[in-house]
Amino acid sequence: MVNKEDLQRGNSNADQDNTNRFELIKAKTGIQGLDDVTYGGIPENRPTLVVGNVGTGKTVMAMEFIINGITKYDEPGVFMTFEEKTDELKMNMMSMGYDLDKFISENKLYLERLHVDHIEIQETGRYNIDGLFIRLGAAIEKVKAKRVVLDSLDTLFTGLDDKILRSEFKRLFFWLKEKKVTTIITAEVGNVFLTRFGLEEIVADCVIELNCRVHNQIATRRLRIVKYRGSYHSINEYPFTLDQKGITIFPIVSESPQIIVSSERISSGIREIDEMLENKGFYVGSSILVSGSAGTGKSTLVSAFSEDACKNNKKVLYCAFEEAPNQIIRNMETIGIHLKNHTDSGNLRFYYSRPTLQNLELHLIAIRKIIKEINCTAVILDPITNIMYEDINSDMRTMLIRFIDYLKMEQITVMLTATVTTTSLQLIQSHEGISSIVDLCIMIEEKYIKHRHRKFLYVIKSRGINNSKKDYELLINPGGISVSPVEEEEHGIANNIMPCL
Amino acid sequence: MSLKKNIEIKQFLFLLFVNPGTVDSIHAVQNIQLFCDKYLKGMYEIEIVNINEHPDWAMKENIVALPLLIKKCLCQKTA
Repeated sequence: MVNKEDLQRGNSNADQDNTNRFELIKAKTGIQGLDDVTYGGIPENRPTLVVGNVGTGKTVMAMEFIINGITKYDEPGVFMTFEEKTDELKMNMMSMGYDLDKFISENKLYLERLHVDHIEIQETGRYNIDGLFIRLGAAIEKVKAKRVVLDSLDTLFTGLDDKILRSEFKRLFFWLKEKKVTTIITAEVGNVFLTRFGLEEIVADCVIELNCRVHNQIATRRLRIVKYRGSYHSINEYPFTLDQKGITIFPIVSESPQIIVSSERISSGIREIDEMLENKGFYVGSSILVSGSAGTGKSTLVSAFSEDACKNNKKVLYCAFEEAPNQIIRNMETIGIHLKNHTDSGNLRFYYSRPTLQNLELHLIAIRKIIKEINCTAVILDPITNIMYEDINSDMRTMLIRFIDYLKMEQITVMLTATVTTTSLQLIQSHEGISSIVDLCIMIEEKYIKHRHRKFLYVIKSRGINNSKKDYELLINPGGISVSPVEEEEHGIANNIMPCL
Repeated sequence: MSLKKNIEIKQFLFLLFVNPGTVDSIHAVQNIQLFCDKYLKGMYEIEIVNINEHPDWAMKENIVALPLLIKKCLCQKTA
Protein backbone atom coordinates (compact mmCIF):
# COMPACT_ATOMS: atom_id res chain seq x y z
CA MET A 1 0.00 0.00 0.00
CA VAL A 2 3.04 2.26 -0.11
CA ASN A 3 2.81 4.56 -3.04
CA LYS A 4 5.64 5.92 -5.08
CA GLU A 5 5.65 9.32 -3.53
CA ASP A 6 6.06 7.85 -0.10
CA LEU A 7 8.96 5.75 -1.23
CA GLN A 8 10.67 8.73 -2.77
CA ARG A 9 10.19 10.75 0.35
CA GLY A 10 11.63 7.90 2.34
CA ASN A 11 14.70 7.83 0.13
CA SER A 12 15.31 11.52 0.35
CA ASN A 13 15.05 11.25 4.11
CA ALA A 14 17.65 8.53 4.09
CA ASP A 15 19.96 10.69 1.98
CA GLN A 16 19.75 13.58 4.37
CA ASP A 17 20.55 11.31 7.20
CA ASN A 18 23.91 10.20 5.95
CA THR A 19 25.46 13.08 7.82
CA ASN A 20 24.15 11.91 11.16
CA ARG A 21 22.81 8.50 10.46
CA PHE A 22 22.68 7.40 14.05
CA GLU A 23 20.22 10.09 14.85
CA LEU A 24 16.61 9.01 15.00
CA ILE A 25 14.36 11.24 12.95
CA LYS A 26 11.96 12.99 15.25
CA ALA A 27 8.75 14.86 14.72
CA LYS A 28 8.44 18.00 16.80
CA THR A 29 5.27 18.10 18.85
CA GLY A 30 5.46 21.86 19.27
CA ILE A 31 4.24 21.42 22.82
CA GLN A 32 6.16 23.70 25.15
CA GLY A 33 8.73 21.61 26.94
CA LEU A 34 7.87 18.20 25.54
CA ASP A 35 10.34 18.56 22.72
CA ASP A 36 13.04 19.39 25.27
CA VAL A 37 12.28 16.35 27.38
CA THR A 38 12.39 14.06 24.37
CA TYR A 39 15.35 15.88 22.80
CA GLY A 40 13.53 16.85 19.67
CA GLY A 41 10.10 15.27 19.63
CA ILE A 42 8.46 11.91 19.19
CA PRO A 43 9.74 9.33 16.68
CA GLU A 44 8.76 10.32 13.18
CA ASN A 45 6.66 7.92 11.14
CA ARG A 46 6.17 5.70 14.15
CA PRO A 47 3.42 5.25 16.67
CA THR A 48 3.72 6.77 20.16
CA LEU A 49 1.55 5.71 23.04
CA VAL A 50 0.21 8.31 25.47
CA VAL A 51 -1.08 6.65 28.62
CA GLY A 52 -3.02 8.39 31.32
CA ASN A 53 -5.96 8.27 33.65
CA VAL A 54 -9.19 10.13 33.16
CA GLY A 55 -8.67 13.86 33.00
CA THR A 56 -4.91 13.91 32.70
CA GLY A 57 -4.96 15.68 29.37
CA LYS A 58 -4.39 12.93 26.82
CA THR A 59 -6.84 14.26 24.28
CA VAL A 60 -5.58 17.81 24.62
CA MET A 61 -2.00 16.70 24.19
CA ALA A 62 -2.90 14.65 21.12
CA MET A 63 -4.92 17.49 19.68
CA GLU A 64 -2.14 19.95 20.27
CA PHE A 65 0.24 17.64 18.47
CA ILE A 66 -2.04 17.75 15.42
CA ILE A 67 -2.72 21.49 15.57
CA ASN A 68 0.93 22.38 16.03
CA GLY A 69 1.66 20.14 13.06
CA ILE A 70 -0.73 22.18 10.97
CA THR A 71 0.18 25.65 12.22
CA LYS A 72 3.89 25.32 12.92
CA TYR A 73 5.29 22.56 10.70
CA ASP A 74 2.85 22.51 7.81
CA GLU A 75 1.96 18.88 8.37
CA PRO A 76 -1.74 18.11 7.97
CA GLY A 77 -3.28 15.70 10.40
CA VAL A 78 -6.03 13.18 10.96
CA PHE A 79 -7.79 12.95 14.30
CA MET A 80 -9.85 9.82 14.84
CA THR A 81 -11.90 9.96 17.97
CA PHE A 82 -13.38 6.82 19.46
CA GLU A 83 -14.94 8.46 22.47
CA GLU A 84 -16.08 12.02 22.08
CA LYS A 85 -18.43 13.16 19.37
CA THR A 86 -16.81 15.42 16.82
CA ASP A 87 -19.09 18.32 17.70
CA GLU A 88 -18.29 18.04 21.37
CA LEU A 89 -14.61 17.82 20.60
CA LYS A 90 -14.82 20.96 18.48
CA MET A 91 -16.58 22.78 21.31
CA ASN A 92 -14.06 21.63 23.86
CA MET A 93 -11.15 22.70 21.72
CA MET A 94 -12.80 26.02 21.02
CA SER A 95 -12.61 26.75 24.73
CA MET A 96 -8.85 26.32 24.45
CA GLY A 97 -8.72 28.69 21.53
CA TYR A 98 -8.48 26.23 18.67
CA ASP A 99 -10.91 26.64 15.82
CA LEU A 100 -11.02 23.18 14.35
CA ASP A 101 -13.60 24.08 11.71
CA LYS A 102 -11.16 26.50 10.18
CA PHE A 103 -8.52 23.81 9.75
CA ILE A 104 -11.12 21.40 8.40
CA SER A 105 -12.30 23.87 5.80
CA GLU A 106 -8.69 24.48 4.79
CA ASN A 107 -8.39 20.72 4.29
CA LYS A 108 -5.56 20.53 6.82
CA LEU A 109 -7.42 18.52 9.39
CA TYR A 110 -9.66 15.53 9.13
CA LEU A 111 -11.82 14.76 12.11
CA GLU A 112 -13.89 11.64 12.36
CA ARG A 113 -15.70 9.76 15.06
CA LEU A 114 -15.47 6.03 15.04
CA HIS A 115 -17.37 3.95 17.49
CA VAL A 116 -18.42 0.42 17.96
CA ASP A 117 -21.63 -0.14 19.81
CA HIS A 118 -21.75 -3.66 21.11
CA ILE A 119 -25.54 -3.57 21.33
CA GLU A 120 -25.85 -3.04 17.61
CA ILE A 121 -23.31 -5.68 16.75
CA GLN A 122 -23.29 -9.43 16.94
CA GLU A 123 -19.95 -11.04 16.49
CA THR A 124 -19.56 -14.34 14.73
CA GLY A 125 -16.71 -16.07 13.04
CA ARG A 126 -13.53 -14.45 11.99
CA TYR A 127 -13.22 -10.86 11.05
CA ASN A 128 -10.68 -8.08 10.89
CA ILE A 129 -10.75 -4.30 11.28
CA ASP A 130 -10.16 -3.44 7.66
CA GLY A 131 -12.97 -0.93 7.98
CA LEU A 132 -10.73 1.17 10.20
CA PHE A 133 -7.82 0.77 7.83
CA ILE A 134 -9.86 1.90 4.87
CA ARG A 135 -11.35 4.88 6.65
CA LEU A 136 -7.98 5.89 8.00
CA GLY A 137 -6.41 5.39 4.59
CA ALA A 138 -9.04 7.55 2.92
CA ALA A 139 -8.62 10.23 5.59
CA ILE A 140 -4.84 10.30 5.26
CA GLU A 141 -5.20 10.48 1.51
CA LYS A 142 -7.73 13.30 1.72
CA VAL A 143 -5.61 15.78 3.67
CA LYS A 144 -2.22 14.31 2.77
CA ALA A 145 -1.69 13.74 6.44
CA LYS A 146 1.68 13.35 8.12
CA ARG A 147 0.25 13.09 11.61
CA VAL A 148 -2.45 10.81 12.94
CA VAL A 149 -4.13 10.56 16.32
CA LEU A 150 -6.23 7.63 17.51
CA ASP A 151 -8.03 8.72 20.65
CA SER A 152 -8.46 6.35 22.46
CA LEU A 153 -8.01 3.09 20.66
CA ASP A 154 -8.71 0.83 23.60
CA THR A 155 -12.40 1.74 23.64
CA LEU A 156 -12.67 -0.71 20.76
CA PHE A 157 -12.01 -3.51 23.23
CA THR A 158 -15.43 -3.04 24.75
CA GLY A 159 -17.11 -3.83 21.46
CA LEU A 160 -14.88 -6.30 19.75
CA ASP A 161 -12.97 -9.45 20.49
CA ASP A 162 -9.71 -9.17 22.42
CA LYS A 163 -7.64 -11.64 20.50
CA ILE A 164 -8.64 -10.40 17.09
CA LEU A 165 -8.03 -6.77 18.06
CA ARG A 166 -4.61 -7.50 19.45
CA SER A 167 -3.34 -9.04 16.23
CA GLU A 168 -5.17 -6.44 14.19
CA PHE A 169 -3.57 -3.58 16.10
CA LYS A 170 -0.17 -5.01 15.39
CA ARG A 171 -1.07 -4.96 11.74
CA LEU A 172 -2.44 -1.44 12.07
CA PHE A 173 0.71 -0.01 13.57
CA PHE A 174 2.85 -1.70 10.98
CA TRP A 175 0.60 -0.27 8.32
CA LEU A 176 0.84 3.20 9.83
CA LYS A 177 4.62 3.00 9.76
CA GLU A 178 4.41 2.02 6.13
CA LYS A 179 2.15 4.99 5.47
CA LYS A 180 4.87 7.21 6.90
CA VAL A 181 2.70 9.01 9.39
CA THR A 182 3.64 9.96 12.93
CA THR A 183 0.95 8.61 15.18
CA ILE A 184 -0.19 9.22 18.73
CA ILE A 185 -2.37 6.58 20.30
CA THR A 186 -3.97 7.35 23.63
CA ALA A 187 -4.95 4.73 26.18
CA GLU A 188 -6.23 4.45 29.70
CA VAL A 189 -4.04 3.32 32.56
CA GLY A 190 -4.47 -0.30 33.58
CA ASN A 191 -4.05 -2.27 36.76
CA VAL A 192 -1.80 -5.09 35.67
CA PHE A 193 -0.27 -3.61 32.60
CA LEU A 194 0.66 -0.03 31.97
CA THR A 195 -2.44 0.31 29.83
CA ARG A 196 -5.75 -1.36 30.49
CA PHE A 197 -5.47 -3.73 27.56
CA GLY A 198 -1.72 -4.08 27.39
CA LEU A 199 -1.37 -1.88 24.33
CA GLU A 200 2.18 -1.04 25.30
CA GLU A 201 3.20 -4.50 24.16
CA ILE A 202 2.08 -3.63 20.69
CA VAL A 203 3.09 0.01 20.39
CA ALA A 204 6.52 -0.04 21.82
CA ASP A 205 8.53 2.71 20.20
CA CYS A 206 7.71 5.51 22.55
CA VAL A 207 5.52 5.53 25.62
CA ILE A 208 4.57 8.72 27.48
CA GLU A 209 2.72 8.51 30.75
CA LEU A 210 0.54 11.27 32.14
CA ASN A 211 -0.75 11.28 35.68
CA CYS A 212 -2.37 13.56 38.15
CA ARG A 213 -1.60 13.34 41.84
CA VAL A 214 -3.00 15.19 44.77
CA HIS A 215 -0.65 16.09 47.54
CA ASN A 216 -1.71 18.29 50.41
CA GLN A 217 -4.91 19.02 48.51
CA ILE A 218 -2.96 20.42 45.62
CA ALA A 219 -3.29 18.50 42.36
CA THR A 220 -0.45 18.41 39.91
CA ARG A 221 -0.38 16.88 36.48
CA ARG A 222 2.86 15.18 35.60
CA LEU A 223 4.42 13.65 32.54
CA ARG A 224 7.05 10.98 32.18
CA ILE A 225 8.68 9.31 29.20
CA VAL A 226 8.49 5.64 30.09
CA LYS A 227 10.20 4.37 27.02
CA TYR A 228 11.79 5.74 23.91
CA ARG A 229 13.30 3.21 21.60
CA GLY A 230 16.38 4.37 19.81
CA SER A 231 16.83 7.64 21.63
CA TYR A 232 17.95 8.94 24.95
CA HIS A 233 15.38 10.87 26.89
CA SER A 234 14.87 12.45 30.26
CA ILE A 235 13.53 9.89 32.67
CA ASN A 236 12.18 12.23 35.31
CA GLU A 237 8.61 13.16 35.93
CA TYR A 238 7.83 16.66 34.80
CA PRO A 239 4.91 18.71 35.99
CA PHE A 240 2.79 20.31 33.34
CA THR A 241 -0.08 22.71 33.18
CA LEU A 242 -3.13 22.67 31.05
CA ASP A 243 -4.78 26.00 30.48
CA GLN A 244 -6.30 28.14 27.81
CA LYS A 245 -2.96 28.30 26.07
CA GLY A 246 -2.63 24.55 25.92
CA ILE A 247 -0.10 22.29 27.55
CA THR A 248 3.12 23.58 29.05
CA ILE A 249 5.73 21.32 30.47
CA PHE A 250 8.48 22.73 32.62
CA PRO A 251 11.50 20.69 31.93
CA ILE A 252 14.80 21.88 33.07
CA VAL A 253 17.12 19.59 31.37
CA SER A 254 20.52 20.26 32.79
CA GLU A 255 22.03 22.71 30.41
CA SER A 256 24.73 24.10 32.64
CA PRO A 257 27.47 24.26 30.00
CA GLN A 258 25.32 26.71 28.12
CA ILE A 259 25.04 29.17 30.97
CA ILE A 260 26.42 32.50 29.89
CA VAL A 261 28.22 34.29 32.65
CA SER A 262 28.00 38.01 32.58
CA SER A 263 30.35 40.46 34.23
CA GLU A 264 27.86 43.25 33.76
CA ARG A 265 26.40 44.75 36.91
CA ILE A 266 22.96 45.88 37.88
CA SER A 267 22.30 48.34 40.68
CA SER A 268 20.59 47.14 43.82
CA GLY A 269 18.57 50.33 43.85
CA ILE A 270 20.12 51.46 47.11
CA ARG A 271 23.36 53.41 46.80
CA GLU A 272 24.84 52.14 50.04
CA ILE A 273 24.26 48.50 49.17
CA ASP A 274 25.93 49.07 45.83
CA GLU A 275 28.84 50.57 47.73
CA MET A 276 29.08 47.43 49.80
CA LEU A 277 29.36 45.46 46.60
CA GLU A 278 32.43 47.06 45.00
CA ASN A 279 30.35 50.15 44.23
CA LYS A 280 28.69 48.34 41.38
CA GLY A 281 25.82 46.24 42.65
CA PHE A 282 24.80 42.74 41.66
CA TYR A 283 25.95 40.72 38.68
CA VAL A 284 23.42 40.57 35.89
CA GLY A 285 21.88 37.12 35.82
CA SER A 286 22.81 36.26 39.37
CA SER A 287 20.49 35.16 42.12
CA ILE A 288 20.15 37.23 45.25
CA LEU A 289 18.54 36.12 48.46
CA VAL A 290 17.26 38.62 51.00
CA SER A 291 16.58 36.84 54.23
CA GLY A 292 15.43 37.94 57.60
CA SER A 293 12.63 37.55 60.07
CA ALA A 294 9.23 39.13 59.68
CA GLY A 295 9.12 42.90 59.41
CA THR A 296 12.78 43.46 58.71
CA GLY A 297 12.18 45.07 55.35
CA LYS A 298 12.82 42.31 52.86
CA SER A 299 10.01 43.37 50.57
CA THR A 300 11.21 46.95 50.89
CA LEU A 301 14.65 46.05 49.60
CA VAL A 302 13.32 44.15 46.61
CA SER A 303 10.85 46.92 45.86
CA ALA A 304 13.65 49.45 45.84
CA PHE A 305 15.52 47.23 43.43
CA SER A 306 12.43 46.88 41.20
CA GLU A 307 11.82 50.61 41.14
CA ASP A 308 15.40 51.34 40.17
CA ALA A 309 15.42 48.76 37.40
CA CYS A 310 12.13 50.08 36.07
CA LYS A 311 13.46 53.61 36.09
CA ASN A 312 16.27 52.41 33.85
CA ASN A 313 13.63 51.07 31.49
CA LYS A 314 14.15 47.46 32.36
CA LYS A 315 11.26 45.06 32.62
CA VAL A 316 10.68 43.51 36.03
CA LEU A 317 8.35 40.72 37.04
CA TYR A 318 7.30 40.89 40.69
CA CYS A 319 5.88 37.59 41.89
CA ALA A 320 4.00 38.23 45.10
CA PHE A 321 2.89 35.29 47.17
CA GLU A 322 1.92 37.18 50.28
CA GLU A 323 0.66 40.64 49.59
CA ALA A 324 -1.62 41.65 46.78
CA PRO A 325 -0.05 43.96 44.17
CA ASN A 326 -2.23 46.91 45.21
CA GLN A 327 -1.19 46.45 48.77
CA ILE A 328 2.50 46.40 47.86
CA ILE A 329 2.09 49.54 45.77
CA ARG A 330 0.28 51.34 48.60
CA ASN A 331 2.72 50.27 51.27
CA MET A 332 5.80 51.15 49.28
CA GLU A 333 4.33 54.54 48.46
CA THR A 334 4.55 55.40 52.17
CA ILE A 335 8.32 55.08 52.17
CA GLY A 336 8.89 56.87 48.92
CA ILE A 337 9.07 53.95 46.53
CA HIS A 338 6.72 54.67 43.65
CA LEU A 339 5.73 51.59 41.77
CA LYS A 340 2.39 52.72 40.38
CA ASN A 341 3.65 54.57 37.33
CA HIS A 342 5.89 51.65 36.44
CA THR A 343 3.01 49.21 36.45
CA ASP A 344 1.11 51.67 34.29
CA SER A 345 3.96 51.97 31.84
CA GLY A 346 4.25 48.19 31.72
CA ASN A 347 7.80 48.03 33.03
CA LEU A 348 6.67 46.39 36.21
CA ARG A 349 4.45 43.38 36.01
CA PHE A 350 2.93 41.62 38.99
CA TYR A 351 2.21 37.94 39.26
CA TYR A 352 0.03 37.36 42.25
CA SER A 353 -1.21 34.02 43.36
CA ARG A 354 -2.00 32.34 46.61
CA PRO A 355 0.60 29.74 47.45
CA THR A 356 -2.09 27.21 48.23
CA LEU A 357 -3.66 27.52 44.83
CA GLN A 358 -1.10 25.27 43.26
CA ASN A 359 2.31 23.99 44.14
CA LEU A 360 5.71 25.47 43.49
CA GLU A 361 6.22 23.79 40.15
CA LEU A 362 3.03 25.12 38.68
CA HIS A 363 3.76 28.58 39.99
CA LEU A 364 7.11 28.42 38.27
CA ILE A 365 5.50 27.32 35.01
CA ALA A 366 3.10 30.24 35.17
CA ILE A 367 5.96 32.60 35.98
CA ARG A 368 8.03 31.27 33.12
CA LYS A 369 5.19 31.92 30.74
CA ILE A 370 5.07 35.58 31.76
CA ILE A 371 8.84 35.86 31.55
CA LYS A 372 8.68 34.69 27.95
CA GLU A 373 5.82 37.00 27.26
CA ILE A 374 7.29 40.24 28.55
CA ASN A 375 10.97 39.45 28.09
CA CYS A 376 12.01 40.81 31.46
CA THR A 377 15.45 41.44 32.92
CA ALA A 378 14.70 40.80 36.56
CA VAL A 379 12.37 38.58 38.53
CA ILE A 380 11.35 38.98 42.15
CA LEU A 381 10.00 36.06 44.17
CA ASP A 382 8.54 37.44 47.36
CA PRO A 383 8.66 35.37 49.50
CA ILE A 384 10.00 32.03 48.45
CA THR A 385 9.44 30.41 51.82
CA ASN A 386 5.71 30.74 51.35
CA ILE A 387 5.65 28.39 48.43
CA MET A 388 8.14 26.05 50.01
CA TYR A 389 6.35 25.61 53.25
CA GLU A 390 4.48 22.50 52.37
CA ASP A 391 7.28 20.09 52.02
CA ILE A 392 10.53 19.32 53.70
CA ASN A 393 11.60 16.97 50.97
CA SER A 394 14.23 17.98 48.51
CA ASP A 395 11.85 18.11 45.54
CA MET A 396 11.18 21.75 46.14
CA ARG A 397 14.80 22.58 46.41
CA THR A 398 15.75 20.88 43.15
CA MET A 399 12.82 22.55 41.48
CA LEU A 400 14.06 25.91 42.68
CA ILE A 401 17.59 25.16 41.57
CA ARG A 402 16.28 24.25 38.14
CA PHE A 403 14.32 27.45 37.98
CA ILE A 404 17.28 29.57 39.00
CA ASP A 405 19.37 27.72 36.40
CA TYR A 406 16.79 28.58 33.82
CA LEU A 407 16.87 32.25 34.82
CA LYS A 408 20.66 32.22 34.61
CA MET A 409 20.49 30.84 31.13
CA GLU A 410 18.18 33.65 30.17
CA GLN A 411 20.46 36.18 31.90
CA ILE A 412 17.69 37.26 34.23
CA THR A 413 18.59 38.60 37.65
CA VAL A 414 16.44 37.01 40.32
CA MET A 415 15.82 38.31 43.79
CA LEU A 416 14.26 36.03 46.37
CA THR A 417 13.09 36.84 49.82
CA ALA A 418 12.87 34.28 52.56
CA THR A 419 11.94 34.37 56.18
CA VAL A 420 15.02 32.54 57.18
CA THR A 421 16.70 33.34 60.42
CA THR A 422 19.26 31.54 62.46
CA THR A 423 16.52 30.16 64.68
CA SER A 424 14.13 29.10 61.94
CA LEU A 425 16.90 27.06 60.38
CA GLN A 426 16.84 24.70 63.28
CA LEU A 427 13.09 24.30 63.00
CA ILE A 428 12.51 24.01 59.30
CA GLN A 429 15.25 22.08 57.62
CA SER A 430 14.11 22.74 54.08
CA HIS A 431 15.13 26.36 54.51
CA GLU A 432 18.72 25.41 54.88
CA GLY A 433 19.03 24.65 51.20
CA ILE A 434 17.96 28.04 50.01
CA SER A 435 21.10 29.96 50.79
CA SER A 436 23.37 27.45 49.09
CA ILE A 437 21.69 27.85 45.73
CA VAL A 438 21.99 31.60 45.49
CA ASP A 439 24.98 33.69 44.46
CA LEU A 440 24.52 36.50 46.88
CA CYS A 441 22.91 36.52 50.24
CA ILE A 442 21.87 39.56 52.22
CA MET A 443 20.66 39.00 55.72
CA ILE A 444 18.73 41.43 57.84
CA GLU A 445 18.58 40.89 61.57
CA GLU A 446 16.60 42.78 64.10
CA LYS A 447 18.07 43.38 67.51
CA TYR A 448 16.79 44.95 70.61
CA ILE A 449 19.43 47.34 71.78
CA LYS A 450 18.98 50.06 74.37
CA HIS A 451 15.16 49.97 74.31
CA ARG A 452 15.07 50.15 70.58
CA HIS A 453 14.62 47.66 67.75
CA ARG A 454 17.35 48.14 65.23
CA LYS A 455 17.86 46.43 61.92
CA PHE A 456 21.30 45.29 60.90
CA LEU A 457 22.21 44.26 57.41
CA TYR A 458 25.02 41.97 56.38
CA VAL A 459 26.20 40.53 53.12
CA ILE A 460 26.78 36.96 54.14
CA LYS A 461 27.81 35.62 50.86
CA SER A 462 28.70 37.13 47.53
CA ARG A 463 30.11 34.95 44.84
CA GLY A 464 32.69 36.80 42.79
CA ILE A 465 32.28 40.12 44.54
CA ASN A 466 34.60 41.50 47.12
CA ASN A 467 31.93 42.71 49.49
CA SER A 468 32.32 45.05 52.39
CA LYS A 469 32.88 43.20 55.63
CA LYS A 470 31.38 45.92 57.73
CA ASP A 471 28.04 45.78 59.51
CA TYR A 472 25.39 48.17 58.35
CA GLU A 473 22.31 49.50 59.95
CA LEU A 474 19.13 49.62 57.94
CA LEU A 475 16.70 52.43 58.54
CA ILE A 476 13.34 52.60 56.85
CA ASN A 477 11.78 56.05 57.03
CA PRO A 478 8.95 57.76 55.22
CA GLY A 479 11.66 59.48 53.23
CA GLY A 480 13.15 56.25 52.00
CA ILE A 481 15.70 53.64 52.90
CA SER A 482 19.03 54.44 54.37
CA VAL A 483 21.86 52.11 55.07
CA SER A 484 24.78 53.33 57.09
CA PRO A 485 27.87 51.65 58.50
CA VAL A 486 27.71 50.89 62.20
CA GLU A 487 29.96 53.11 64.32
CA GLU A 488 33.12 51.50 65.64
CA GLU A 489 32.08 51.59 69.31
CA GLU A 490 28.78 49.91 68.49
CA HIS A 491 30.43 47.09 66.59
CA GLY A 492 30.44 44.85 69.52
CA ILE A 493 26.70 45.14 69.99
CA ALA A 494 25.83 44.38 66.41
CA ASN A 495 28.22 41.51 66.22
CA ASN A 496 27.15 39.66 69.28
CA ILE A 497 25.25 37.12 67.22
CA MET A 498 26.82 36.09 63.98
CA PRO A 499 24.32 34.65 61.56
CA CYS A 500 25.47 31.36 60.19
CA LEU A 501 23.35 30.29 57.25
CA MET B 1 -40.86 -17.72 12.26
CA SER B 2 -42.50 -15.84 15.07
CA LEU B 3 -42.40 -12.57 13.22
CA LYS B 4 -44.79 -13.88 10.61
CA LYS B 5 -47.66 -13.86 13.10
CA ASN B 6 -48.38 -10.18 12.75
CA ILE B 7 -45.94 -8.88 10.23
CA GLU B 8 -45.72 -10.15 6.76
CA ILE B 9 -42.19 -9.92 5.64
CA LYS B 10 -42.08 -9.13 2.03
CA GLN B 11 -38.41 -9.10 1.50
CA PHE B 12 -35.12 -9.01 3.33
CA LEU B 13 -32.40 -6.67 2.27
CA PHE B 14 -28.89 -7.46 3.31
CA LEU B 15 -25.92 -5.20 2.92
CA LEU B 16 -22.69 -7.11 3.09
CA PHE B 17 -19.57 -5.04 3.37
CA VAL B 18 -16.49 -6.87 2.20
CA ASN B 19 -12.91 -6.33 1.41
CA PRO B 20 -12.51 -8.56 -1.64
CA GLY B 21 -9.39 -10.60 -1.65
CA THR B 22 -9.41 -11.48 2.01
CA VAL B 23 -10.31 -15.03 2.96
CA ASP B 24 -12.82 -13.91 5.57
CA SER B 25 -14.74 -11.88 3.02
CA ILE B 26 -14.89 -14.71 0.47
CA HIS B 27 -16.23 -17.01 3.18
CA ALA B 28 -18.76 -14.43 4.25
CA VAL B 29 -20.17 -14.04 0.74
CA GLN B 30 -20.47 -17.80 0.36
CA ASN B 31 -22.04 -18.26 3.78
CA ILE B 32 -24.69 -15.60 3.42
CA GLN B 33 -25.74 -16.93 0.02
CA LEU B 34 -25.97 -20.49 1.28
CA PHE B 35 -27.97 -19.42 4.31
CA CYS B 36 -30.40 -17.30 2.37
CA ASP B 37 -30.97 -19.94 -0.26
CA LYS B 38 -31.76 -22.41 2.46
CA TYR B 39 -34.05 -20.34 4.68
CA LEU B 40 -35.24 -17.29 2.80
CA LYS B 41 -35.56 -18.48 -0.73
CA GLY B 42 -37.08 -15.91 -3.00
CA MET B 43 -37.50 -13.24 -0.40
CA TYR B 44 -34.11 -11.76 -0.04
CA GLU B 45 -31.80 -9.40 -1.74
CA ILE B 46 -28.10 -9.16 -1.04
CA GLU B 47 -26.06 -6.18 -1.93
CA ILE B 48 -22.36 -6.72 -1.68
CA VAL B 49 -20.39 -3.54 -1.12
CA ASN B 50 -16.72 -3.41 -1.88
CA ILE B 51 -15.50 -1.10 0.84
CA ASN B 52 -12.34 -0.24 -1.05
CA GLU B 53 -14.40 1.38 -3.73
CA HIS B 54 -16.72 3.16 -1.33
CA PRO B 55 -14.75 4.36 1.68
CA ASP B 56 -17.43 6.98 2.31
CA TRP B 57 -19.91 4.18 2.97
CA ALA B 58 -17.68 2.91 5.69
CA MET B 59 -18.00 6.25 7.39
CA LYS B 60 -21.73 6.54 6.82
CA GLU B 61 -22.47 3.11 8.23
CA ASN B 62 -19.73 3.44 10.85
CA ILE B 63 -17.87 0.32 9.89
CA VAL B 64 -14.82 -0.88 11.73
CA ALA B 65 -14.90 -4.64 11.53
CA LEU B 66 -14.97 -6.46 8.21
CA PRO B 67 -16.73 -8.42 6.78
CA LEU B 68 -19.90 -6.89 8.15
CA LEU B 69 -23.50 -7.66 7.41
CA ILE B 70 -26.20 -5.10 7.93
CA LYS B 71 -29.73 -6.43 8.08
CA LYS B 72 -32.28 -4.13 6.55
CA CYS B 73 -35.69 -5.58 5.92
CA LEU B 74 -38.54 -4.26 3.91
CA CYS B 75 -41.56 -5.04 5.99
CA GLN B 76 -45.28 -4.65 5.48
CA LYS B 77 -47.79 -4.78 8.25
CA THR B 78 -50.78 -7.03 7.90
CA ALA B 79 -54.16 -5.48 8.39
